[in-house]
Amino acid sequence: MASLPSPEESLLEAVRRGNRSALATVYDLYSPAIYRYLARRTGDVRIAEDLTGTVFLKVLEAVQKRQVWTTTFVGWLYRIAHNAVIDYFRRTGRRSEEILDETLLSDAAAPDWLAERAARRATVRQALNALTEEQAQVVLLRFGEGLSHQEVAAIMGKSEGAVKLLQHRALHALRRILIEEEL
Amino acid sequence: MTRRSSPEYLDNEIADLIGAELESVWAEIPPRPESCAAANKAAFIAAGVRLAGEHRPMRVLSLRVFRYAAIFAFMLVSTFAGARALSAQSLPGDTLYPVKLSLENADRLFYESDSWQSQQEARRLAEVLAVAAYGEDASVSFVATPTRTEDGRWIVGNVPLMVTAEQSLMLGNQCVRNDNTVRIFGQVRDGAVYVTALTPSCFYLASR
Repeated sequence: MASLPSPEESLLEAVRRGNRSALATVYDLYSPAIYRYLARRTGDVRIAEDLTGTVFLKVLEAVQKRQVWTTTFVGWLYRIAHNAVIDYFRRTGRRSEEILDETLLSDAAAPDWLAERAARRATVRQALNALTEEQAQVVLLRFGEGLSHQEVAAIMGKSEGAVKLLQHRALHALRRILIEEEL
Repeated sequence: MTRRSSPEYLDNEIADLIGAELESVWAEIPPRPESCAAANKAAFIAAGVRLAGEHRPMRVLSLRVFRYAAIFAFMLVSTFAGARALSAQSLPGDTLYPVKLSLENADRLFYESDSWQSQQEARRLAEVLAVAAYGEDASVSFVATPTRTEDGRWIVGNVPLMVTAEQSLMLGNQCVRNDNTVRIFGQVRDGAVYVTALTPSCFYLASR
């Protein structure tokens, strides 16, 4: 007996046929998460918006070519977004989160508690920047986007064990840096 | 159950400790500009509609094209066959006679040979004889081998050729190579052919 198509498959079939309502639904459902991920990775809303457009255009092309995803549709979207970010960084020679430093608050006139919070965030940013690209990617996908090890592994094209190892090293590095800062 | 000493447990513990701080850093990203999001959405929908049009199955397109092509071909063949059938029996002077000549000229592209040319010339001569027999008028051009009667007149088949003295001399002294054939231009009237010009076969064969 043939299995029923999943809601995503039905939706994408309508997208393949060029149904405007289905296209709008797909964009409304998935673009906020992809945009958020891209904004966190690049730290620039304009670039994130551009890359979101690129990602969804690639999705359209893949849907027309009837390419299939290996894990989940969302995981597949993140993988396309991940590749788009890697391409962007390769093209521009920038590294993720570096740009966050540019938006660092340095308001000397701010109250003490605000200045303390800003300083703490700056420390976290520096700690994130100290991670390798892959470690930072795992931290963002696991804790920023809430994806499973399996999904992160599929997005990054790695084994689940490799992702767990990257996460382990990343978290320990973050803790070490943050504790050192406190001392 | 996860053991307290396992890497997974330690990871979760660390993640709990620094999770809020990570969130606060990520939350610093300004909210998505609505206008950009709307423009991107519109572009996405337009691209989706366009790509769907480009990837529309060729079978549907080819079926439609094939249907129109078949109708067009059928009309073309019908028109061609109808014109051929209607004009087949026409004679010089008839409205459809030029159509008949045009179709035969088209046939020349496929069938031209000496025997085909001879058949065509025989057909033209038969048409002239028929027009003369019916007593109709028509301008004609045909190839024939005129013969001279005992009383000095020229005929083709049973149809008299009305020629000038000069033309009669030309026919009598014709320098044609073997068969004494000439191309005759003239007017069929009252059962006779009034010759306006003659071309000896040594010329028209060369120009064929």
